[in-house]
Amino acid sequence: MAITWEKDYASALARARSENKPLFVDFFSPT
Amino acid sequence: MDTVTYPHGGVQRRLGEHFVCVRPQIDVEKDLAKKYLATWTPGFFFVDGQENVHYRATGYHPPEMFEHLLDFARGLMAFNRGSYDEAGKILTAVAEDKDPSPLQAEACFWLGVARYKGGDKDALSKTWSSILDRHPNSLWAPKVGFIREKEKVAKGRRRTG
Repeated sequence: MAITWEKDYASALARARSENKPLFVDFFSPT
Repeated sequence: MDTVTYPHGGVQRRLGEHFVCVRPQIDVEKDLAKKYLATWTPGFFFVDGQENVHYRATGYHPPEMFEHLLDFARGLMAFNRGSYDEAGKILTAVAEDKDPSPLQAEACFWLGVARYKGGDKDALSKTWSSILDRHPNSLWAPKVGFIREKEKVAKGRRRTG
């Protein structure tokens, strides 16, 4: 199962709420 | 993380099944980084639908340790909502996994508390005792070291009583 990265925080939070799942936030720096 | 950890099958399965995932770029999403007090990368946050942060971790994690992190965070979130049986199952899997990681001692600590709050009052000292046996050099061992003294006192009382 591939990881689906939401395109932005707001949509991720909305999906987390609608699916009743926790949100995993990974702050990154481009290498 | 992109080269080794995120392509790992166990990591992909856990993130896909149990979490909604997002990767803000720290120097672009500055307000969001400030909100979460994210100051270094990679910076991982486990958040509920009300935006409460249940756990955070910083820095590269190899796959096996990251699998433990994901499971541990999920167990802690179950614990925080009062689902002690569910938390106990998830934390047990981390604590007893054959692949060692520094998160196992912390998982044992919270597993003891989950069992205690779930109604098994004797489990707290038994589970914490396993930290002293299996992870004596961990950060969690000094926090539970007092139980050995309590056990000695209790044995002394039984002998003299």
